[in-house]
Amino acid sequence: MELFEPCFPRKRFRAALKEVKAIADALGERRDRDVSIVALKKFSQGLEVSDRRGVEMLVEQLRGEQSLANDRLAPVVDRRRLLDLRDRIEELVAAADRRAA
Amino acid sequence: MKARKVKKLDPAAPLDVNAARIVRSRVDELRSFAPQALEPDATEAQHDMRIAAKRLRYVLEVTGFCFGKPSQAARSRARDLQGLLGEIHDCDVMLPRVQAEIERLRGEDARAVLLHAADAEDLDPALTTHAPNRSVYRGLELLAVHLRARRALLFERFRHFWQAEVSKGTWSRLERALDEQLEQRKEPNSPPQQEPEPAAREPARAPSPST
Repeated sequence: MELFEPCFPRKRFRAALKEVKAIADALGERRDRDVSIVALKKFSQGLEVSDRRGVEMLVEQLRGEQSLANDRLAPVVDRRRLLDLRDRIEELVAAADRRAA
Repeated sequence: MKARKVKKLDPAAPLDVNAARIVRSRVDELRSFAPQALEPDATEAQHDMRIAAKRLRYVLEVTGFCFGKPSQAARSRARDLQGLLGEIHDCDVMLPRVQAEIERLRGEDARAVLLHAADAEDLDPALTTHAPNRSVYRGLELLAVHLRARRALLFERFRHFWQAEVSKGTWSRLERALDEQLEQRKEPNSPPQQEPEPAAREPARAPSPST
């Protein structure tokens, strides 16, 4: 979106971009935990069984954070909110078309 | 890290002109982090460089077809760089977390051992057997060792990668393609160049890089 910023009405563009960034951030928060859990589990499998407990505790903590990240993500990717964003972006595109005409 | 503002963007100008300015700005941004990010402990500069690589990659994914082969190579290398620096960043995030966890467990164990000491005059070393987390440390210490070693390995890979790409001219070829594009657009009535580079001949029609 930033690539085509000068084509759009500034205020409405900023608002839509803020929304898109909020979605990206919430998804990123969730995804970071997924990646960490996979890496820790892989590392843990290379340890002797008696040495795994500490790493497994860390994985459990990350699972807790993952659940919190899910709670934060849910309202951000709510269907109505996404449809509203789509409408706003379509309006932005229409405004850019009108400017270009 | 906030993206640098791109100057002279003009919604009325053709796509390739604006794209050249944006890509040029993103390449400059990426390269500006290089001297500092090549220091092993410059975690912040390495993180910023990763973000800069990501921005360059994405703008090239959308507009790279305007600039031919140099943009395909740069996009691919920016993606590699982003991945490599991302893995370094993962180590930088996880290592302090592991160390903090070890410290937290130590505090918990010290309190538990102290409770068992009751009002003894001195602390009996045997009381450490009451430390609730005594079997947990080894795995976490090994994880810290692993993360430190992996970071060092990835950093060396990053350094070699960057130096190799600079030597190969990955970024400078892209910069030349961008400058040529801007130059051509500046003088639309000038006579055609002799033997232009294939990448610069018909940039707007060059095949889109495969994804």
